Amino acid sequence: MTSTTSNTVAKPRPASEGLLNEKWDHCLANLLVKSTLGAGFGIIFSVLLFKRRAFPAWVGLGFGAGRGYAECDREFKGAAGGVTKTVGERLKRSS
Amino acid sequence: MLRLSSAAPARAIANIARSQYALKQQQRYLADIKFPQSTPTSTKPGEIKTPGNGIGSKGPLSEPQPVRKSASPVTPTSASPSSPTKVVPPTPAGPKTQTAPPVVAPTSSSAVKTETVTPSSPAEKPVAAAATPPPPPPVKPASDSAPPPPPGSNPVKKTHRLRNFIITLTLLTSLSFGGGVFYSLKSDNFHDFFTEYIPFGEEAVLYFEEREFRRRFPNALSRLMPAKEALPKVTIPRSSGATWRNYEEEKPKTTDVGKHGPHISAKGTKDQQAERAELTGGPKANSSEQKPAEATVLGEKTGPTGKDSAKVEGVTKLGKASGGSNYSISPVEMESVNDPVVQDLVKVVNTIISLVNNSGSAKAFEDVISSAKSELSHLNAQIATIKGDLEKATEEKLKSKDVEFASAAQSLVSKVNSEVSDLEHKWKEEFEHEREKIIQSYRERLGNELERSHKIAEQRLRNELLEQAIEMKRKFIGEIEERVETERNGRLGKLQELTNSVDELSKLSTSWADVIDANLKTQQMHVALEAVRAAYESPEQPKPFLREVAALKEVAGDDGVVSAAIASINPRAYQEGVPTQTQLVDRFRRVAEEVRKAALLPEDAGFAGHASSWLLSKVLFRKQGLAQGNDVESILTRTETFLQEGDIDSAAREMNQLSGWSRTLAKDWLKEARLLLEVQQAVDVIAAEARLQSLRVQERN
Repeated sequence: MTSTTSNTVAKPRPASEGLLNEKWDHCLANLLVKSTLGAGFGIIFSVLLFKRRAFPAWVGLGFGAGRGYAECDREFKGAAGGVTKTVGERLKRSS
Repeated sequence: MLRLSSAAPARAIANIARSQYALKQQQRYLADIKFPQSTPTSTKPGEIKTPGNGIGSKGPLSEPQPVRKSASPVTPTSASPSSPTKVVPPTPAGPKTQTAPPVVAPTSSSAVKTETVTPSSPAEKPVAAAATPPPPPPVKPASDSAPPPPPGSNPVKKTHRLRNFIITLTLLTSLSFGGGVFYSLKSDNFHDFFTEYIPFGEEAVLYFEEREFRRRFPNALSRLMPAKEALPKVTIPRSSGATWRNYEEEKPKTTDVGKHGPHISAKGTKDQQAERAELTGGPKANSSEQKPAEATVLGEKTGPTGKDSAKVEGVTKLGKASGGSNYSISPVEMESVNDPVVQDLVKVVNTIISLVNNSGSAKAFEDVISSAKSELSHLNAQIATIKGDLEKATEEKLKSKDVEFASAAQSLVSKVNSEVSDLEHKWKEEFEHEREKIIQSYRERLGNELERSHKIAEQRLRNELLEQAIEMKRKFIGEIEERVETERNGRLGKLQELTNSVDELSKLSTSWADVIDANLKTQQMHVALEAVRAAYESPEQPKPFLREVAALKEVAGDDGVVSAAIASINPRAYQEGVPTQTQLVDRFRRVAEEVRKAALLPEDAGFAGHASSWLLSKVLFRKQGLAQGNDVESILTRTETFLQEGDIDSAAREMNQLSGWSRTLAKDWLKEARLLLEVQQAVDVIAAEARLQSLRVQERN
């Protein structure tokens, strides 16, 4: 049933109330992926260079998580439905 | 370098050879001075110090050369201009005659070339100097170049050089100038160039042209010049021709109207005249002179006009004169002088007498005059008698003629009388005849008139009869028609009524048909409206209800209100359907959850802001009913309340107040609510219109 409706209607965009949830999903997934990647790199470095010490893995994880957080933050800030007051001022200042 | 054209190569080769030979000579000489340190002919010991190269010091070195014959070809190689003069001393001993300067000139150029060539082989020199013996061949100088000119001629030439140059320059300039002038006289092109660019060229050419012209036409100018002088002088007097001035009489008239004059009062005329006299002294005198002259003329003129009087005067004067003298012949006096001839005679005699009296010798002529007087009286008497005779004869003749004329007149009168009576008779007869004729014609005319009047009267009578008959007929027809009409109207009137009632019936029926149609229409509209309402209120929504709307539009026809209402609906509403109220409420619950999550977001929130808002929204207290305040929670509470009450419109209004993220989240729900509201509003409007139409139909009834 759901598949047919999705086929026939071909949802052009998600419902407005789901916008924020979708962003959250994206963000969390991104955060997870990035932090895993970072942690992976850290582990590899620790194995190869640092005699299996722990801190490179933590550092990698931190880098990945930070990267994910930054991206998420940007996404949330930019998508507030039109330009907010502060953003408008910032734009004005930059231009 | 050596590739010289035409005759030059041979000479060049010779020169080269010569110069090489000279070099050798020099070197040899240098060797000489080096070794013995003292030469017999050296004049400038200072110059000997620079023999290092043997090339740069050629000129000066050549001078002291002991070998004279070899020195001459060397000299040209020296660059210094003073070389020829210095060369002279060694050369005079030369056997050959000079022509040296002209020869030197060409060689100098070639010698310079050799100069440049020679340094290329500096190494050879010492070798040559060492190898070749010093004595030069005596033949070479003799054949090669002439010895320099004699010493005496050269200095003179030198002094005149500048003068010669100037002379030749002036000669050449004048020659070329003269040639230019001559050629410019020949060719127009060159003339233009010459006059334009050469100083004094134009003047010179002009002068020559002028001369040529004069030579050709010696009297060309002389013809023009004297012509002017020969013209007779015409002088126009100053006061000639017409002027603007009025012609002034010689005697100026000064008439001042304002002044005291005869035109004002007769009193001052004399003063005036005096004044005038003063003013015009000369003219006045003139006039006074003229006046007597005029008087004399008048006297003369009057003389001839009054001739008779003058005669009479003369006669009287004669008488006086005769009376005055001692003796005078009395003039002839005759009372009965009728004849003019005699009168003239008397006058003549009288004049004679007066003459005689005046002359003073009256006595001498007394006899003659007395005889003349007697003759005159005699003549007078004779003329009187002749006249008397003539009168008598004429009287007699007149009497006889009178009698004749009287008899003739009587006969004529009688004749005339008889003729007149005859004429009278004739006219009377004619008159009678004419009268009879006229009477007869009148009678005839009278008869005709009578007949005609009779005929006319008869005709008139007949006409009247006919008219009467026609009128009778008309009356009869009219009566019949009237009767028929009345009969017909009786039946036809009823028919008319019938048709009228039928018409009314048909009208009624048509109006009723209209009413029925309108009724049908309204009913159909109601049905369609109900269909639409049912479609959008059915629980199976969202479902498109395009067909229903189309039907409604078609039923409405050209109803402006209905079409406007349908046009106001967003097409998406009937293409995709609208949500039902319950659906809206359901969706609102979901939306409200999400909106609450974003309720506490700061402006321009990032990840942290969203997270904190989400977390904090969990611990928010829920409001109930129609809460006060403009915050998200109270708006949501109010909206929920309105929705529960079924007031979608107010709910939508409330939700519209949201802003930022919460508004973005509620956007879709708002859109759906609006769609439903639009459709509801349009349907309400159409329903009102349908009701109005049905009311109208009822009114029409």
